[in-house]
Amino acid sequence: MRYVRLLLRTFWVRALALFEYRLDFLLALLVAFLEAGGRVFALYGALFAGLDLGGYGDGEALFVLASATLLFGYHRGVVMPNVVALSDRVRLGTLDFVLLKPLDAQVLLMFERFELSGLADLLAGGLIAAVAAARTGLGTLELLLYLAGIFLAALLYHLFAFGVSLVSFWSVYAQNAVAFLAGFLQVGSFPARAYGPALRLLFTWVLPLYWLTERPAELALGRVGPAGLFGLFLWLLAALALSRGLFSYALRGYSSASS
Amino acid sequence: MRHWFSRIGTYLQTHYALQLEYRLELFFWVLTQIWPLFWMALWAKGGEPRLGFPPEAFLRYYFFAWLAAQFNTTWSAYLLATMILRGDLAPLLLRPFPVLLDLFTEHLGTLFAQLPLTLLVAAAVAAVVPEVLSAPLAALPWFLFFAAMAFTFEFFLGVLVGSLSFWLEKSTGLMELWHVLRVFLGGVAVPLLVLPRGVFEALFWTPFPYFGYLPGALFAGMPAPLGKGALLLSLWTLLVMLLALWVFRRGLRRFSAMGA
Repeated sequence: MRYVRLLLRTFWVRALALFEYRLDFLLALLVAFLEAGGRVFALYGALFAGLDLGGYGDGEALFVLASATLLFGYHRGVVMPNVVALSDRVRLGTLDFVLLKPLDAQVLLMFERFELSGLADLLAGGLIAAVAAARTGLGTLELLLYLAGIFLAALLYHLFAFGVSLVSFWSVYAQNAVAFLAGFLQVGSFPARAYGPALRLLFTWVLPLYWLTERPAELALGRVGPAGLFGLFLWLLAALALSRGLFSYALRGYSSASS
Repeated sequence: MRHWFSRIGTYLQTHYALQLEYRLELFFWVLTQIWPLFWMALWAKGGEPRLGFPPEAFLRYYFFAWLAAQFNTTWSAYLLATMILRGDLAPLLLRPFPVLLDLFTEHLGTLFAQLPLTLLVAAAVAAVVPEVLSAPLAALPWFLFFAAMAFTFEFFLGVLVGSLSFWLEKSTGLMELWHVLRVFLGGVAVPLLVLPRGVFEALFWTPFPYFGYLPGALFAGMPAPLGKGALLLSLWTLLVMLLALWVFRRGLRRFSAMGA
């Protein structure tokens, strides 16, 4: 009898634990959808006020918003957990274990951890993209191009975030610096051209916000052909070279736990 | 009484000094919050006069809504939850100083350490868009009142959510929910004037618009029910405070620290 009770109790605790984390995921889902909803509200608010979004109608602008939301999912699911892991490793000196492995340290550090809650934003972003696709009439080629564009944009964002997270070699904590970068995804919920000529130049040539959110939308809308991926690719190469250089520079200043 | 003042003063000084150590982090934290100022650039271009306000009004609106939001960045939920789950709360309970007061002075210390950095960003914004400074100064006392009240509200909301960790393993997700609602329904991201009339008016019964819309509207000359707002936010704050204290006390009773 005692064993039955123990078993039931154990079962109940396991179920509760599972339920608790499921609740956590449900909450993340709610937060992601509310945040995406908030961005949609901001977009329609701007359209209602008659603001010029660089000639974008609501269907077209929704594609930009979808890109930003998808990238947010990538940020929450992949980028941020790894940034936290990296700064923990630098602080605790466990970075040594990664450096000793016979694989590329940067790749290991960029894709060490995943967080399930990022899926919630991906879902919300997918939903927005579906609505945008229904409003603008999307072909198969454009859909593929859009996905390719988002894929490249996510990698580009990740490389940028990785470069910024190297701050943790000097300051123990890099989460806020990367969260600052994520704030620009919020800015990128609107097309870069909507911000006026000066900011648009900034977002095209300095902070690649245009490439992250608006270029995939342009690919989906057929405003640029498959050749439109080329610019993104170039940015990616530049970011790769830059981040690798920064990483090796940062490592030079890293004194491991034992030295 | 004097004794208490000096104690609180010491705690404030300590927390302020502690936070100064992380000033680079604090500065990055301030920077994570600046994205609405880019949306300000979007609104400052002006559209059709459907909302009945010139572009400068939106400049001031966004600027002061952002500034108000800088006063209520609180971590009480996260700090309390961690303390409870890891048992760090136990040594604090042994001190002859209330834990919640400790937490509150920590927040004030952070605020003081953070304010100069916020003002730095504000000065940079004012240099780019000097229009934001042509705001009516008479609104300043109201602004400070709402900022202080919003700070207190959010601190105790954090205590309430954090105290749930006495029962739950993860409660801070609720705080994220609140943050999202505060940014969008609070008007930090979008001037709430774009909402339908009925929704707009109904929102004033909730605590949300006092965190962004009202401080922004004050300086932008948009409709701002000050008296009603002050009363309602005070009531909300009182409610959350009492609830938080009650939940915290009940939680303490079932708190068994490490080794107990």
